[in-house]
Amino acid sequence: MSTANTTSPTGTTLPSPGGFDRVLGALQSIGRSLMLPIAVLPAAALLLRLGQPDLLNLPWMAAAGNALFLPNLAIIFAVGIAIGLAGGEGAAALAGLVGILVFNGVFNTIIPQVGGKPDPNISMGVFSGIIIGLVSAGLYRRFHDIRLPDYLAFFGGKRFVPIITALVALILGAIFGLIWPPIQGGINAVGLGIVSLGAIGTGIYGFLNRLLIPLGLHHVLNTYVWFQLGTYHGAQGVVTGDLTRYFAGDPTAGNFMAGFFPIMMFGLPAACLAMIRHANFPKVAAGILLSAAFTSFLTGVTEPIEFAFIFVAPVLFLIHAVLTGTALAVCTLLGIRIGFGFSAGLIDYVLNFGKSNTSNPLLLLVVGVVYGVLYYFIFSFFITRFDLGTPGRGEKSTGLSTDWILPESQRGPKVPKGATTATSATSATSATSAMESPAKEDRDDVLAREVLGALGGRANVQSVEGCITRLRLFVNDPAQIDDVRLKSLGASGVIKRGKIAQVVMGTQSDRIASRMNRLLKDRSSGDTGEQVEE
Amino acid sequence: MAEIRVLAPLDGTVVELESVPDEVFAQKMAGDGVAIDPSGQVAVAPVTGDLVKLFPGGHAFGISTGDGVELIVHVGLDTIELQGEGFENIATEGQVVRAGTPIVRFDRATVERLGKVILSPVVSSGAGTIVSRASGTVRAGQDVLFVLEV
Repeated sequence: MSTANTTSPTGTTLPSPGGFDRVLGALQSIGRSLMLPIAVLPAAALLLRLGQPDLLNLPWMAAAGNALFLPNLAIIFAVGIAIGLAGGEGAAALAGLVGILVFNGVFNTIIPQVGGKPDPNISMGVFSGIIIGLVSAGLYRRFHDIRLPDYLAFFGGKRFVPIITALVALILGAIFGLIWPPIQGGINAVGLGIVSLGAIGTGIYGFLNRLLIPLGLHHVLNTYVWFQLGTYHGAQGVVTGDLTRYFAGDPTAGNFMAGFFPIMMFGLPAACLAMIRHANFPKVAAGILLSAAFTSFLTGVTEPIEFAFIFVAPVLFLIHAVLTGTALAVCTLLGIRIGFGFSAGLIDYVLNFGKSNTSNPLLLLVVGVVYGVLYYFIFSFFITRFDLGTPGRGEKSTGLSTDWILPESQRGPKVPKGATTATSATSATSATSAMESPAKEDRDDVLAREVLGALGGRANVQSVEGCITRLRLFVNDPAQIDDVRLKSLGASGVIKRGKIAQVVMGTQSDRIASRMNRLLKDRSSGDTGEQVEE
Repeated sequence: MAEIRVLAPLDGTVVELESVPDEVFAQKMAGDGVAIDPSGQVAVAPVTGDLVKLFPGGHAFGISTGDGVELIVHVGLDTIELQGEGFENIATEGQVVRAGTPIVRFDRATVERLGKVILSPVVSSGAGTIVSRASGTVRAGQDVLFVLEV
């Protein structure tokens, strides 16, 4: 690593790790660690949506989905980030759990109380989970090998991490319990100011709604806009809030919801397609993004998509927020009004399509298609132009490997299908494609066994190592090597220099060598020297 | 018959493969091609395709195009014995690369200090025959190193 030169051959200079890059690198580590918690969200969203009273009306199903969302998403994030950033360490995960529980306990005691209970309108959303996850992982790195005095030795090492995390979380809980209510109040005041501005107001609201997601403050804004803004004297009496008024039949309601449909049903799924299209590993990217796109389209739950790029490519998130704002403004200007009881997915669209105070729902689809196209091309442009590290891509400046989105056990060598081997050969056993499949592995094993036989058997082979085009061998007796048989197995050349032999087998050499080493290891215990190429 | 233009994966001077002090490459057992005496520090993909092989130690990689063409870039000779010292992988095995994508960073001084020859063979080990090849100095990812007819 110390030999690294920062100039790439095309003349572009890779940035040295300055402050900005370090922040970006840290953000990307968070983004990567979020993949673990995000993996559960699409299924949870479907359970939550399908269990609602307006669909299957299965309270237990909705409760199962809901358990993973609003009340507990912060906990899932805290644990998931702690695990991800601490390299899968269980002690860090426990620290994250302990930390968020302590934090929530303290926070809820310190914030203003309503009727003897913590004010339910004051919440930090996932923000608290992100903070605690970071803190836990940081404390794990700092203290996981701490040595305590002998009489406290039981509490040393990894066991110390949850303890110290609890203490830090207690202090953080107290601090945020004090500073968060005024911050939230400030956001509320801003919300009050902008919503009276017509199309501009709904636009700014849409922009802020997305921008506040990582802080969890979008719920604050939503609560005000959807449940308090405006009054309507309907059949059931006086109701307030854009969402409540919409369902009470107010013909002027729905402006603060309609614009989300084009984004969640069309825009974000199109963004997923763009990310898949420009991935170096399209299948890898499709793994998370296709299910996330489907979830967004159907239910309007967008977190799986947004958290897949928010930290690894913040600029895309900013663009997403701006586009959301414009969508709300456009829908207001076009007089499109439709609401949702849950979120802006296909289900709510269909349910409310024929409602008496829904207006221009078909025009909404046109706007949606336009936004789908916009998202696709804008995301494509930014991803390729700035080489952004979205799922399935790499990021040169921070050294993320291209398959970072995969679980670690799934990364690394994998030969894509369709590739063909080089010195494919005269013998049936070696004329194969390089596609990795169980059947193929068998064939490699067969070839390895044949080659080993042609080299004079296990007893003659001291060690074998695979290079890119050849097997490098130490043998006991070079005379036992059967050149002709090796050539019939696909070797394009055999070279002997004393006890060193090289057999040119093309790019399959490395795979054959590792199979041969397995054979050598399996059947001869100990007496043959071997080098396993790793 | 299609022609595939293989770009130089390294900055440097073109050397005949026959003069490389490694029998396997010199006798073209691994395939036809040329060697480069490198002056830069990054090896890039010579063609667009799948990075089917990239050794963890970074000393060699293979790229396969869809139609059976395969190219091997071997940075230095016998460099597998360095077990990654002086090399640093940039790309990941299995990924799709475009011609010019940086694959491996290497340090000539380290490789030579450890007793290895830095001459780097670039050979075609799959389909196609070489119909013309460059001479003199080439620039990585920009100049055509040789042309394959498939």
